[in-house]
Amino acid sequence: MNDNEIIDMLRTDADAGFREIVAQRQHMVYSMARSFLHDSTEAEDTAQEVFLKIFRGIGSFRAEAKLSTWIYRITVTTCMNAARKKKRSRSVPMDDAHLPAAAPHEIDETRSAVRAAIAKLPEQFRAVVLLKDMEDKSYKEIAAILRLPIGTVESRLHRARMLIRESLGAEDRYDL
Amino acid sequence: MTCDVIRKNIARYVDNELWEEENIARIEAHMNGCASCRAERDALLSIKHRVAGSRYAAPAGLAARVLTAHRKGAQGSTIRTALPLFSAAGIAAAAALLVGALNFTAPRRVSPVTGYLLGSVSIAEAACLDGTIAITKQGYK
Repeated sequence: MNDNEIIDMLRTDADAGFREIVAQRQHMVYSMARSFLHDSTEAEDTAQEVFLKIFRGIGSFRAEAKLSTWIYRITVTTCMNAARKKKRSRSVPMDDAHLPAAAPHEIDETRSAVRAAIAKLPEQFRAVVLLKDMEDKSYKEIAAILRLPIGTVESRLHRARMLIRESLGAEDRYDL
Repeated sequence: MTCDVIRKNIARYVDNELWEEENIARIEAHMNGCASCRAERDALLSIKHRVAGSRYAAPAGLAARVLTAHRKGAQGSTIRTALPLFSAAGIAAAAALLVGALNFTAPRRVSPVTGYLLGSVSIAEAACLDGTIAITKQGYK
């Protein structure tokens, strides 16, 4: 179901429209929240907050913007705010950012190492690399979601990938 | 194309952000003969694939939890919007009564029946009166 069909559904049957949005977006919203917060319970709470913001704000959504861009924007800003709030309330660094490096032959551990590398990124770099490489958004879409010039999106993406590469440096010697 | 030009465009290339077939062909032609730029491309593709593979799946109960919270929120908002209306109506009615009571010291023209209901005239007096009467707290004129 595309954006226009969901908007039509929201007009005729709001509850059905909300169910469709949750069904379609729950993995994206949760994954984004988990990547920013590194904790399953906090990620669930934040994902719920994202959807409730979408439901409350849908009345003010302007059709000239893409629904998916609007949903991504709410998701990213809510996750970034939750991460900042968490950072302010903690005096020690977040746990997942200090996960041990993975053995290259074990897929799950390699995934953990990549997640740890993403967790170490500054938030503005993290948002860009997640939107590009995890969500497969175009530079133009990312620029619209984050309200940044395309050149800034490109430079942040480049920097994010370089930092991930540095973090995974030891593994790359085996994998590449 | 030189390696410098390729490096400036290699991210756009792996991200499918180059739209001119001619540029894509030039980059591919260069990489066919340049191990260093090929390695750079492969490193970027590796990071892209690893980040894509690090996506989390939502837990099974998330959708139900979100929809339940939404329903509760919707009910809560109905109650929250109803309460101020009720309060406002109550306050307005109380204010009207108060204003009426305060003004009752001055004579007010009402029908005899209203005068009886307000306790200013007896039922027998009300039955005998026509038109309107001026009532005060002490009685009627």
